Amino acid sequence: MVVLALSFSSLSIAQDFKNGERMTIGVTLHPYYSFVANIVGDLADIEPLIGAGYNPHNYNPLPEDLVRARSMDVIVVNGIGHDEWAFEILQASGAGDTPLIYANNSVSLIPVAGNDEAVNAHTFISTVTAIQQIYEIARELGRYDPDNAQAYARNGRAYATSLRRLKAEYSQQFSDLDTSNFRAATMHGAYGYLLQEFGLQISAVIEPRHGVEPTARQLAQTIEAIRAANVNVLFAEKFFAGQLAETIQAETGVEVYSFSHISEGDYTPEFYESEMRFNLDSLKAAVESTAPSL
Amino acid sequence: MNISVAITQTVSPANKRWESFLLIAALLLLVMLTGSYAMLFGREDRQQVILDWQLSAYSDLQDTDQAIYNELLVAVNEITFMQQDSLDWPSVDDLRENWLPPFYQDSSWINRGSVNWQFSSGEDRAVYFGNQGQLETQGAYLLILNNEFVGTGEVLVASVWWHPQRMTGLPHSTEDSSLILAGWKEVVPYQGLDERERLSD
Repeated sequence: MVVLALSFSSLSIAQDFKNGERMTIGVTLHPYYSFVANIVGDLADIEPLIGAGYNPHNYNPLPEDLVRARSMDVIVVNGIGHDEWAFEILQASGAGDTPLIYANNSVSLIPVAGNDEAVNAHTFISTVTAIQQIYEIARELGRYDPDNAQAYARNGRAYATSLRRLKAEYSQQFSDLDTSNFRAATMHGAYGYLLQEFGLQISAVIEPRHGVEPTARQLAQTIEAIRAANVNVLFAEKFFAGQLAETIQAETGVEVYSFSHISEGDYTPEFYESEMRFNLDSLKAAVESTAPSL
Repeated sequence: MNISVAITQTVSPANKRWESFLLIAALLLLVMLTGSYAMLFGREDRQQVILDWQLSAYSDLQDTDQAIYNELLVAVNEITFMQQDSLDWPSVDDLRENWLPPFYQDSSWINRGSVNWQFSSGEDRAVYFGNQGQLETQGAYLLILNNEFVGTGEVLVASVWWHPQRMTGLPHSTEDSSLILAGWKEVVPYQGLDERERLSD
């Protein structure tokens, strides 16, 4: 047996470490900014640990990050391999004892497609696993700020409902499409959760280097791998598609679409839904392109 | 004509008798010290403990079953809220009206075999039973929820069970021992908490 969810009464064990003062909540990744913003509304301040426009996969901390880290009362982290740099920043800034909320603590993880040894840390690119994180973050924020715990729980639930409605909007559109001919590869191992929630599978992950334009040799190897995988759809990365996608499409004949990693752009409450909508539009177009014509 | 003469001179160590012995002893000491350090402080790959009557959601389930399991796990949160709102467990229709997978009937539900969900409840227990999936080799699913008092507070204890075969109907008993005897397996998640502990080892 596993205790999967605490009932609301158990929140009374919370520690009121801010004595009713307004909290400043740090976040490491763009999705967590949107999640927290929708959970707290105007009841707390949110501060990203790093500026917009940096690649969170191989981030090198900057001096200003250390200053910013010291102003945070609690920080929401992925904690399963996608923001290890955050721990370096906290240690270097002398804020190593800042309380952390591990968004993935109660998320059931899956491996990267085709590699059972590697845990897929991209739990934020799926409405199902995003919702589990939203519940987790709302619960934990309520423990640190008991005065607003009810509001956080209520807002988190409403936000979860809006994401479920978003997914339902698209999955109803997919209902009439035949997916039996859908064979997809992705150029990053991030999208397993997203395809799994639509009952679709990834046949291969063909990743030259995430977020970096491949060399000519890597591109040749990528094209060879796509041919070998016998797929008819390839999902490239939104911010690195462009010329690369055109070359691959011309060489292999597969339809190329792109997914957003949800880690580039301004930090806004709406950013997550907007990028997920982009992903779902892309997925819908790809499914339509492979559906046998009637 | 130049004539070169090779001269060989052997220089013996001052303590010839002990040099080899000391070298071997030093090597042995080094091996023993590093071995002891590794045993005491070395990293050990953490393995999740899965008992005979359990399955790992991470490594033992096929993609479809894994997806249904993960959605059931997330659904527990909303079921809890709905139960607190109405003081009653939500029915399958209630869950569908709230777009809650895996109960909501959309393309994902169709792709995963159009599983038929039934609900039953007792005094302190709710059971959601999934059966009659259309996919080949698809079995049956059980989500069991119990309100239990632990310490000073009430907690919701949930468990998900999987059976490799389709059932003729809801199990007569949903007690652990009865389910295990009937061939059900409890599914255990590999969660972020587990991965974090592995990373910090």
